[in-house]
Amino acid sequence: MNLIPALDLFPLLASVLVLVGCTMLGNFLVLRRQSLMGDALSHTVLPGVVGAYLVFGSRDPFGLFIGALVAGLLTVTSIEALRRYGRIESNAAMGVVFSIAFAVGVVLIRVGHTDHVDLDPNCVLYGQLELLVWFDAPSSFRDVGFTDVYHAMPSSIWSLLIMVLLSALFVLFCFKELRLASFDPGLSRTLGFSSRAINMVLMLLVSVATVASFEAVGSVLVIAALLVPSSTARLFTDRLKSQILVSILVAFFCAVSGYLMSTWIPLLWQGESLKASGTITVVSGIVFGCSLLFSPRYGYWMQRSRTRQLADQVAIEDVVVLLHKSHRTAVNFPWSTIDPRILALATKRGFLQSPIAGQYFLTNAGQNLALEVQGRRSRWLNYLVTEVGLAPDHAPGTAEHLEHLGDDLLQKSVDTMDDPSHPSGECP
Amino acid sequence: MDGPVTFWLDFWNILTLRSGYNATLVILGTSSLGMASGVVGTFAVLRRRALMADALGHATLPGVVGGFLLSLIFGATGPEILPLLIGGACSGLLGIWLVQFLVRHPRIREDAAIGLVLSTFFGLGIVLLSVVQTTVSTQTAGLDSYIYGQASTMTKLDVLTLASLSLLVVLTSILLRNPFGQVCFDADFAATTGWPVDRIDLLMMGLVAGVCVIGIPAVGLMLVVALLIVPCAAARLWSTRLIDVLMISGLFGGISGWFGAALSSSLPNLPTGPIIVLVAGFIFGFSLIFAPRRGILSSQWDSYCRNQRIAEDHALEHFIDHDDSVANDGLSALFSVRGWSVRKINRLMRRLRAKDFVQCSSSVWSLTPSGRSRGLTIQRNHRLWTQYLTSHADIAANHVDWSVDQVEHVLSDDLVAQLEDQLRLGSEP
Amino acid sequence: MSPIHRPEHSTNSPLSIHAMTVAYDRKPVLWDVDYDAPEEPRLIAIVGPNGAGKSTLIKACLGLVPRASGLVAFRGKPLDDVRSTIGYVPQRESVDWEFPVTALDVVCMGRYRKIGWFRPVRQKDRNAALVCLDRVGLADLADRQIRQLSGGQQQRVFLARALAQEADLYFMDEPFAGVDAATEQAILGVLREMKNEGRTIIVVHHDLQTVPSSFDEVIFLNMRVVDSGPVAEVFHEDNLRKTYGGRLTMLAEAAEAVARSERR
Repeated sequence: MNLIPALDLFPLLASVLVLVGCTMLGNFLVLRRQSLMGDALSHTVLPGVVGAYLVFGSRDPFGLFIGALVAGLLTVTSIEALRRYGRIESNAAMGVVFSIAFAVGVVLIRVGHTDHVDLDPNCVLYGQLELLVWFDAPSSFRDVGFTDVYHAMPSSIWSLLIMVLLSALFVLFCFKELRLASFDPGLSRTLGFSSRAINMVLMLLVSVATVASFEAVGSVLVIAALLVPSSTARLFTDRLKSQILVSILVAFFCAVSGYLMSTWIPLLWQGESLKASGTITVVSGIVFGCSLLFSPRYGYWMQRSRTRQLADQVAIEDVVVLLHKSHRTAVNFPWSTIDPRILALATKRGFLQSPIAGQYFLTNAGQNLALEVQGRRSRWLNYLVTEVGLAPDHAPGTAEHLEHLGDDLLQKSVDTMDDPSHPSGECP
Repeated sequence: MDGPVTFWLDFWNILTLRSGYNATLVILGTSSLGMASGVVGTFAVLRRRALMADALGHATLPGVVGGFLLSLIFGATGPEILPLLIGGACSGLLGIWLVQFLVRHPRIREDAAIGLVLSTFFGLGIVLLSVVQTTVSTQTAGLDSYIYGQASTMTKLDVLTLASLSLLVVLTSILLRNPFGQVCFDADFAATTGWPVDRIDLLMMGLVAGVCVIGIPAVGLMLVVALLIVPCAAARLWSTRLIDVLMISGLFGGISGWFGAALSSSLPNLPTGPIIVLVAGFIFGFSLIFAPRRGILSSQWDSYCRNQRIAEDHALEHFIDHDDSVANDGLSALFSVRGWSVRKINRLMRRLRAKDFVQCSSSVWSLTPSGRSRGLTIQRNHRLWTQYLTSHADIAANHVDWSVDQVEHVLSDDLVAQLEDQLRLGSEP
Repeated sequence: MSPIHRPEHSTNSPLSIHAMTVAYDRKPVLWDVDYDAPEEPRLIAIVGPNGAGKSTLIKACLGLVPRASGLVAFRGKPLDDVRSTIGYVPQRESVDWEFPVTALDVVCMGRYRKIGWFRPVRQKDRNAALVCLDRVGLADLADRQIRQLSGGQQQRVFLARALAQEADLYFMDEPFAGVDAATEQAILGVLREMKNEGRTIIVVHHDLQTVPSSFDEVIFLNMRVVDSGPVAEVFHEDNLRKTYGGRLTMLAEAAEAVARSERR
């Protein structure tokens, strides 16, 4: 059985291009908290495209492009105007603009009788990835050299290629400006990099991406392509460059696997293939969900287990110190107040001897740990009192908390404070 | 349709419910839906969750299709309204819950969370839809209408359900407007004063979800968000009091439903949902431009007037400082500190002359008596404000308005007298 | 009645504000502000109660909020001609600290104006930024994502970015907000160094007590300039009362501060 029929080459290519191209722009939308601008723009493509069809009277891709660009520009400026002059909160402004624009689009379709040229709203929503067929594809490698076979290539591929190229160029050449304008628009303006102009170009390119993509994959996948891979990458990295790279990889993976799913899953019940735009969206949603749970840095699972480890560590140290301090009176030690799980854990780690008649005793390792912890706490106390300016009677509690949270660098500088030869730096 | 006259006649008949049973049903249904969504949407907008409603609308799709699949398994022969709505409500609420869950992560902002949920759920819906279409293609005719809506097929039962649900929603919102308003305005504060914020919030979102789900068969899930937020956005331009906004928003929603349905049935081939949204959009646009105080015309005019006033005040002060008159060619020197262009100065002087504050004879500008008294008033105002800022600096900032006609308009007469005393004492120690 | 006092504006002043009025919404928040910074480098504090328009003053000078009337000149030139010589440190809360940039990246942003449009950040810019980071004592943390820095460290990163701008005139919006005493001293130290290099620094400041010991000049602002000038001349109880009104706690603090400045 041929799992990837040659017929799928172009749809597959198209979905990869859509996801990769949109993702590059989407990274900045997410960082600028303008994700929903992508949503809004993908809705307003409909009236733009239909309007262009009614004006130009053909489905010439160039005309549609112009129409959608105009619609995109109008959307961005009218949302901005609503916010500034009508003082309407930005979410509400977006909602008002794009829903009305979408309604205009649907009405235009009915009024202009464009249903028969497959400009129906469904096509805008889901796209028609499956129709991207290269009818005159070269049948063998000998034909590849003849240019005329390329004329029959689906035109959306070309527009997608151009879109990806434009996005890549923009991100490459304006990387620095984008980063500045997204991070600190105020500084950007005082430095003379107009954040409004950068924003406008970004929005225009998102419009271009939406127009180029909607025919192939529909507007819903465009929203997913803009947001999902970049949000996923955000969970893995702390650098903008690597975030963009990771998001492109994620986008590539989602596009390929999502597309393959659309043909493979129906094989389970011998059905026809599913809507590829839908499966790609779902696959990217799943990828995002898994990253959210299991990402090594910001995943829920890791964060929870890290918090837990830290809590355990603190509890064990507390027990050990407590036991060390009250060693002589261990008989009266209030064992019932201490979580048995912690006692078991401390025993397992070799800080406590196994209980004899319900009594625990410190091992040598436990003794050492207690001394070390006490020393560390007193150094922290010293640091807090002398350097930070806390009142001494408040400090001990803070010291117990800080020593576990403080990063290694701070710890180092605290440790060096005991060393008289080392001048205590004013900047830890 | 033989021309505009017949169209308007037709439209008028439908509008006044005199053209047949079906059209009347549809109008009643959509207008009660519009009213309910206008009222409930107000809370969604005030809670800054306008686009949450969009996520909710999109997230109903997998539930609708899933409900349809399930109902097929249990022996239904086509789309039936109840399983579809229940399924839609379930997946919609799940979507909202997911958004709430996602925003708790420090790396995920609310906008991204909404977009993620919206697109993923809708994608899932599309996949399910294509499963349905490829497996049981004969019975899916009604499903599409959930995306774009199909108000024209409403039955009496539908309308009764819609109307009673709407009534319920409107009554609940109006009765509970105080706790709802508290939570919308400042949830944390509401919690500290003892409101059960979580439950109120849940009820509020539940109402939004309810309206969303019952509205979807009529206007479609793509556009239900418009019904929720557009009337409220328009209403907020007319008033700032919660109860007024609720009423106006409900009214606007109702009108949109009524006129939209009437328009779409008097013109051929027009879908009801989008037309309702367009009518709402028209109301919004009108409000945006013409609403008093908050409308664009009014607020732009206000700020233009304010800046003019400030400039005039400054100019009169300069005149007073300059012994009431200045030669024509000395004007730009007089105002040099202001950085005004020659054109601006010329226009300003023309305005002042029109108001009879200055006169120009043999190329010397001088203050008229009324200009002089106005200038002195301004000077006195500013001295009083300065004194006020000095003596009441801790509570000053919100009261001070340099450009007011008379300080007495803002401060009480007693206080002004007191300030004048202080000024006099200060000048002759 | 005497005419309104207007200072003679000098074209050599690093910052001269001519009769600036700023209005938000319906009401003016700054009225007729006139100010000339001294020609020599100085450390200048803007003090005043909440809502007095301190941040607005800075933003209006930088063109970030529109002015209703008035002129701002930097050594006699308009803002657009001298952008590269003006530095700005916004409030710490004004940016998203989850943003995927490192401390070094943030400092590099200060040099973007020098690098120019469309050109990438080069190694030599990074080295220059690293030097600035070193001056505020954070060279070790250059590769940290900014969320992983403490509040005081974040503030120092902003300071390093200002250093990297190599401007003649700096506006800083509450650089001491939420930092501990040690960091405040460290930041002040850097500010003094900057002053000694010939730069004028204008700081929105909250803590009256540290004004006499830390700053050269002070501007008392409460919707209008109450008074301005060298700390020794204008930092006295009368001005404080005019600026802050009869608020008892403030006066107590002020008296303490005045007493301390006299002891000095």
